[in-house]
Parts: sequence; structure tokens; C-alpha cells
Amino acid sequence: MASTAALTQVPLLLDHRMVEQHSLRRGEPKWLREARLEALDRFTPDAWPTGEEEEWRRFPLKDLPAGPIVSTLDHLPGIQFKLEPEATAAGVIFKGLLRASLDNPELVRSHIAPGDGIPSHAAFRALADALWSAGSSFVHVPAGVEVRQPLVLEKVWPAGDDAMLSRTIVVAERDSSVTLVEDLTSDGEAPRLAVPHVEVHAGAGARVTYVGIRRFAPGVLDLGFQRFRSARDSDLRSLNVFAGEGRSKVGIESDIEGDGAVVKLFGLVAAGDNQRIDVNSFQRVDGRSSQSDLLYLSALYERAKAIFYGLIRVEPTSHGTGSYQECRNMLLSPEAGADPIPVLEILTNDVVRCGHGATAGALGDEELFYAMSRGFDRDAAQQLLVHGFFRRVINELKDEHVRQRVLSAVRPRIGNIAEMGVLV
Amino acid sequence: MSSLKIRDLVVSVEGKTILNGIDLVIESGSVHAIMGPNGSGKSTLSLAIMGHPKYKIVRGQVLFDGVNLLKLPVDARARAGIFLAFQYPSAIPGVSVANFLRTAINARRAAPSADGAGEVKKNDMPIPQFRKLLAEKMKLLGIDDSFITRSVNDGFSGGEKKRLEILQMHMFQPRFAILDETDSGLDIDALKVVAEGIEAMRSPDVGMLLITHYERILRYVHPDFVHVLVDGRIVRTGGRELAAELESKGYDFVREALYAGRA
Ligand SMILES: Nc1ncnc2c1ncn2[C@@H]1O[C@H](COP(=O)(O)OP(=O)(O)OP(=O)(O)O)[C@@H](O)[C@H]1O
Ligand SMILES: [Mg+2]
Repeated sequence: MASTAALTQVPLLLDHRMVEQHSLRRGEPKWLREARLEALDRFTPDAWPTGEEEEWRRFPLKDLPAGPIVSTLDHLPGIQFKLEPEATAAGVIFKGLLRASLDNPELVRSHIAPGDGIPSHAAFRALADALWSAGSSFVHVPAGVEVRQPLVLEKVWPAGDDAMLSRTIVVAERDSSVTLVEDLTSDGEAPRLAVPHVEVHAGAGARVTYVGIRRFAPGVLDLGFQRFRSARDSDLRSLNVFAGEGRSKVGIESDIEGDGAVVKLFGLVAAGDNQRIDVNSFQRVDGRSSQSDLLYLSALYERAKAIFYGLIRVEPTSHGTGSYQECRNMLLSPEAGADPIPVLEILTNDVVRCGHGATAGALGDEELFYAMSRGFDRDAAQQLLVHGFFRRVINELKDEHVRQRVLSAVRPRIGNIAEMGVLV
Repeated sequence: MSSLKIRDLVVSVEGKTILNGIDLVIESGSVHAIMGPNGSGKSTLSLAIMGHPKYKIVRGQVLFDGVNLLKLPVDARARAGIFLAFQYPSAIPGVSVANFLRTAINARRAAPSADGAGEVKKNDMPIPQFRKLLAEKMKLLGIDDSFITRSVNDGFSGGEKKRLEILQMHMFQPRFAILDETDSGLDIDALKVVAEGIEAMRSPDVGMLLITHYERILRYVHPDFVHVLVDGRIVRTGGRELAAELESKGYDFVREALYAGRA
């Protein structure tokens, strides 16, 4: 058990009592409290990043918000878990995590153990797993069930300085299908910490899409973590949209755990001001003929900086897999910057493809001139080109409403000149 | 009646003088053709008129109905009614042709605020009207439906790019069009369609400058004047017969005449 004394090097203090009190106050069952305490055990001084890790070298973990780490907010105002009647009838569960723990304990219990993943993010996973509160959610889709409408969660944290620690657990059983969209917003300007911890399990043959949109307020320090697990023949897509005004340091891990799995990890970053959006990804590729592809696009304004450290590991036990990592950065101001760092670890000769591509550069002069010669002023021409650039990812979204939601999230940054749902 | 008056235009690119004093007046309703060897400065002339930032105006004026175009930003030139069909059009990945055309039309219809700083006043073309216009123009130019959902010039063949330039000209209805080798790289059928597209634009209100290497297009689009541009100067001006003469004799004969005259 972690003691307070042992944690003095760590800038955040939490202890057994805090976690226990938090759970008791919320009226949680004992097993849930134990799961939280188990997570607390992982919150050790060694779990805290030293800054030497590849993932943390470019993201100084100083100026941690001083607000309370324990939030007494149990429910986000206005959050709605809307589920189509067919899905409810088929036994799909789509609820707040506490509600699900009370209603469906046996199900939640089997997925509530503290999450694993990239070691240097362990402290933040542990933090979220020990102290999650409002905005946590649970999705379970039974085998063979297809949820047609995307599940959409609008999570709006009211103003405050308490930490926004949440857990999202999505379990799609064998041959099921589901799309979850989480749209995260926060009000207020106070410095505060956010750790959205997301775990997605795609069972054998399941088709899962996870879209996470972040529109956090300027004072937010987002240290989120996501882990995607893919069983054989599953198809898993994720899209992260960074459209807020805060700082982000997010770790993403994708583990392929069976043959023939397909993973697609997309990202859009629309940042400005002095924002720093730092993402590190780990694509673990295993199995026979599995595919893992990542595509992150950034549009960077003013003094914004995007850092992307991406690692692909093709495991020695894999056969004939394909993987790729692509990171493109559009610098829309001379002071904007991008630092894409791709790393490939190919531990077998039996690989069909594995590669990376990374670029960072200003808008093309010829393209700008061409657009302006058609009557667009400079700003409109720029909007048009950025919009076109983002389309490559947006077009991957099949659902028109989800697409519109993503567009509306990036609109304040990239503008709306080229939005034309009506036509094409 | 409007006119485009080019006076003593000297243009340099990366410190090198390319145009050495061009004088040319084009009245609306007339078509002028410019022919000239590779590298003589034809595209430089068209890009300088449009306002490409790489092409520096050393001296001279371009007056469009008395307004000095060279003082206007690129987009203002376009909105004033100048259209350039590019020799090498740029691709805009992710922006469909239909989307591009519609937003461009709306951008052109928007009225800039009186003080130039505030909000522009929008005046969007209603979607049904846009659709109708587009369908009409596509039919005129024999353009397939699938074309308009593709990204602008992205992966287009040379001929497809030229067709899109002509389609844009028709959608924007400029008062003055410069067509920079729009007839190059076209197969016989496409050439005919493009030529008819150009011909269909002809009207007493529209002036045109047709840059070409081939006399062929001039058989469809009859120019009122043919100019020969060599080494950044207009060295000869004549009627359609000049194009035929060039075709048979090549540029050397103009060059020889030019330099013999000077020596
Ligand atoms: N952007 C540029 N950078 C450097 N040199 C340029 C540029 N544009 C034009 N030039 C030079 O200016 C001269 C004229 O070029 P221009 O493109 O105007 O010729 P052109 O008459 O259009 O030729 P073509 O028939 O091949 O299209 C050439 O020597 C060319 O290399
Ligand atoms: Mg040229």
C-alpha cells in the first residue's frame, strides 16, 4: 500500500483514506472500493514520470494545477445516456460507471481492475482509476449485437478547479458493433487537471469506433490515457480530436491480441495560442495478417506546438502484419511548431509492411495563390486548404452526425468556409 | 465596354527580368492570342496580371477600366472580374469541385464592408440556383457528374485539369479571361470541347487573352489579334494569318527579323 510519506517526491498527494472516503461518500459497493484501492497501490513514486522517458521528454510536468484532486461532483449536469430501444432490448448497457456498478455489478467487476498500458503513464492511469468521479461511463455490447446509432456522450464539466478524473470502459463482445462518441468540454478558466482514462475492448470479430473530442478550457492540463485492445478479426477505429484551448499530454496504446485484427488510429489537432498538444502512441502489432495504421493531422496556429512521439512494435510472434504511422503538420504561423518523432521496432522478418511518414510545413504558396485567384481572400483561402487537409480524416467517419460534430469542434479554430454538408 | 491596358510592363522573377516592357490593350468583346517560344514570358505575363507574389513588378501598369490592378490583392483582382485559367493548376486535396465552386462563387458575391475591416456582407447564391447553373455548365462542357465530387485537381489528368479551368471560367463569368495554354495536352475531342467552351464565353462584354502554342485552337476560336512574344517583348502583332505563318516557319523567323532589325 502506498503511504503518504513515500509519495513526497510526487507533486500530487493522495492516500488510502482519501480514496476510501471518496468511495464511501459515493455509496459504492465494497468491490468497487477495493478496485480503487488497488489502483492507488500503483500510484507510487516510481510510477511518476521522471521526464527522461521518451514519452515525457518534451512535456515538462511542472505547473501542475493546485486544485483539489478529489472531486465531489458525482454527475455531470445534463449528461444523457441515450440508447435506441432495440439496443436496450438486446441487453446493451450504456450508463454512468457508478450506475452500471450498482445495476450490473458482475459485468463491471470483470472490467474494473486498474488499467495497464505504457509504463510512463502509470501514475495518471492510477490516479483516474483510484479517484474517478463525474463523467465516467460504461458501455457493454453483448455478443452479436449491433448498435446502429452512435452512442453520444456530451460531457460538460462545470467551472471549478477540482480535477476531472474519469474512466470510460467500452466492452464490445464477439461480433458486436458499436460507436461511442465522447465530447469533452469544461467551463471556467481556472487551472485544473483532467485525466480521461479510456479503455476499449474489441472482442473477436467486433467492430468498434471510438471518437474522443476534447474541447477543454484554457486552464486545463489534460493527461489522458487510452488503451485499445483488439481480439482476432476485430475492426477498431479511433479518432481523437484536440479542439480545446488547454494543454494535452495524451498516451495512446493499441494492442492487437489476435489474428486478422484491423486497427485505425486517427487524430486531428487544431491548436493555437500557446497550446502544447503532445501525443505519444504505441501500436503493438501481433497476430497473423493484422493491420495497424495511424494518421494524425495537425493545424497549428499562433504559437501552438504539436509533439508526436509514435512507436510501432511488430512483435516477434506476429506474421505477415502491416502497420504504418503518419503524422502531418500544417504550420499556419511562423511561430507554430511541430515535432513528429516516429520509431519502428520490427522484431520479426515476417512482416508485409511497416513504415512511417512525418512532415511539418507551411501552407503551399501555389495552392494559396490558386485559391485566391478564384476570389477567396487570404484568410478564406487558408480555411479552405486546412479544411481540405482535415477532410482526409473526417471522411473516414461514416456517420454524418458524427462528422458534423467533429467539424463543429474544430470550427472555432479552422473556420467554416468550406463546410458544405449539403452538397458533397 | 471595358478594357485592360498593359503599359510598359517590366516583370522580374528571382532577380531576373523576364518581361521587358509589354504594351497591350485589350477591349472587351475582342480576343487576343499570344504565341511565343517556351520561356518567352507568356505565363509570367498572366501570373503578373493575376498577382502571383513571386513575380515582381519592376515598372509599368495594368489598368482595368482605369483601376490599377497591380495595387489590388489577388482576390480583389478576381472579384474585379479577371480570371486566369492556369497552365499548371494546383490541387486542393479534400475540397470537392462542387464545394470549391460554390464557396468561390459565394466569396465573389460577398460585399466587403465599407471600411474594409469589418464583417463582409454575405450574399450566398441559393443552393438550387447553384445546382442549376452547375448542371447547365457541365452539360455545355460535356463534364461527367462524377467529376464534381472529386477533390479539386487532385489526381486529375492534364485534360481534366484544363476542363476544370474552363468550367470555373463559366461558373464565375469573368469580364476578362486569360487562358494560359488551356489547349495544351488535350486530345482531339477534348480540344474541341474546350474550344467550344471558350467560344461560348465570347461576348461583347468579355475580353480574352489566349496563350497558345498551336494554331489549331485558333481555327475554333478566331482571335482578332495575334501577338508574338519573344524574350519578354511583343515583337509582332497581326491577324489570324500570323499564327499560320508562325506554324509553318517557326519562331526563328521572327527572332531573325527582330535581331536583324536591331543590329
Ligand atoms: N517561379 C519562377 N522561378 C524562377 N524562374 C521562373 C519562374 N517563373 C518563370 N521563370 C522563368 O521565366 C522565364 C519565362 O517563363 P514563363 O513561364 O513565363 O515562360 P512561358 O512563355 O510561359 O513558357 P512555356 O511556353 O514553356 O509555358 C523562364 O526562363 C522561366 O524559367
Ligand atoms: Mg507558360
